[in-house]
Amino acid sequence: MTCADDLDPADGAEPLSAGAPKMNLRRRRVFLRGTGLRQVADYLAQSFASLLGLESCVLYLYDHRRANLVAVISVGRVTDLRRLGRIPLDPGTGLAALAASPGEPGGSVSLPLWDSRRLLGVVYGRMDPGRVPDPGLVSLARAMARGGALALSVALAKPRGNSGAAKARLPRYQGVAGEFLLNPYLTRYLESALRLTQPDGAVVLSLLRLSGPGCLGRLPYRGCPVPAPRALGRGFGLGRGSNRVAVVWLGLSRQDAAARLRRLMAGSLSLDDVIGRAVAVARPTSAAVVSHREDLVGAGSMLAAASDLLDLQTCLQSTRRDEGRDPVHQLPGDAAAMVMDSHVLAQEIDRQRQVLQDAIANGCDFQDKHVREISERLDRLIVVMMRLMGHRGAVP
Amino acid sequence: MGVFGSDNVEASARPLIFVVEPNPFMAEMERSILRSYAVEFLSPEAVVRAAVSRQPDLIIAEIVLRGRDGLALCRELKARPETADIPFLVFSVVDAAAEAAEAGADAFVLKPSERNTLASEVRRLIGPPRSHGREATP
Repeated sequence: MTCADDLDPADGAEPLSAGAPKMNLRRRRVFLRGTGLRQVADYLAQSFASLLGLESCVLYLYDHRRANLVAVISVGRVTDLRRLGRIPLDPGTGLAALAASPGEPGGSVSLPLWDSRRLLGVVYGRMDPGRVPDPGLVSLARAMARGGALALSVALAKPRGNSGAAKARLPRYQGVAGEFLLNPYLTRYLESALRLTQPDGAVVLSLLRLSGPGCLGRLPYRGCPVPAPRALGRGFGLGRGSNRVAVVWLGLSRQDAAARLRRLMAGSLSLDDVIGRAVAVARPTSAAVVSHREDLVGAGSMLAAASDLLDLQTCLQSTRRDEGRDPVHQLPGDAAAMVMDSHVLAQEIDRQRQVLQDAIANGCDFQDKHVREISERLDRLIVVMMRLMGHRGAVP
Repeated sequence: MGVFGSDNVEASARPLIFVVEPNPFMAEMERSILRSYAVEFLSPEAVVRAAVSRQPDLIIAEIVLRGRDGLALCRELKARPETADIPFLVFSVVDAAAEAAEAGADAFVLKPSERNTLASEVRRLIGPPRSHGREATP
């Protein structure tokens, strides 16, 4: 495997002339030269594993359209790719499914790293500070991989040069494994918003889970930002067939964003008002809100925390149903609707702990099935809270 | 790797911690917090036998466990002369610091905690990871 510094396919610039300054990395283009895409993918996977300190790494190499998987390679402990199931984030049951089989390799998630400018550091054997993948995204992927492999997605930039020729030698990928669980445009938009916002400015991220047959196929997917001339927030799709959307709110506090989402779920605000595209039959069933600075810092951390909270909300809804309790935020016409944020999570931890203490005070011992069930639920909430606390920078 | 397993990288050169934790996500969190130590996750049934034979530097356990609760485990280990001196830390969802002390536990940390709260309690009990090295197995 060799690499030459004459092509960075991501930015569309022309190759540098032979006399160009060698150290001008901003304009330098990177060409990985190998005998085929598998060799390129293997080189990148090993480099990522080494540079990011991963025990194992699965690399998915996509074509320039970011739609077709052209190579999959693993390095490290994962040797049997057939055992690497994909984690279904959308139904909110992925974590529970993994918890049920802790001895199995956890699976993989796609980490969008397809801005090939970020590969410069990998190619040169080091990560420049500005090119290091967001630690929040890496930790999200690592957490979701759960003992499996950290999966990284990298896209070829353009079908030319050796990559195009090599691609032609590989069979086209058949299937839907090229799902993009995280939207790279959302990540970039969020990163830009955080960078451009004043120190005391508010940036809030919401994740919504939608229901209704019409939401599939009509929502934007594969990274397309929703055109939102009239919308309150900026909406993003989270993959083909996904029933989730993300909304970024600028200049709005978390409390205000949560209030609007409650109105949305109550039906007094339309989805069109929020994300700028009418999806008439899609109905939001749950939402999670995180705020930059107030909750945590960094785009990756916000995405990771919002994803955690949205998954947790599904769990809490079923808990409330089991316990016959009213939801925290009772809404007319949608008894299960509530908006999850760090305050709701803290309240729920306190409440569940009190239920546990009461059960013990009433004579249940630690082996009691009821006590163990409460403890398991509490543990699940606490794990998310500890992740949130970690994102806040509590960890040295 | 599931809940039960070990970090084998340089394991013999680092203080050894046995963890009894039923929740795989919490186990992953503890593995991450204690990554500078050699951590092994064991079932409540296996930890007593392993503690007798391998003499870990520390045992961390949740109270609510399947089969045997963490406080009973602590009492048994503290009652055995071979394991009585091994520090025992209770890391639990149950607010039971007094009960843990009564059972003989050396420390109690309530979940959720800041990650460095658990790490500093571990350091207080067995010292920092590098200064407390075990001899590597030849």
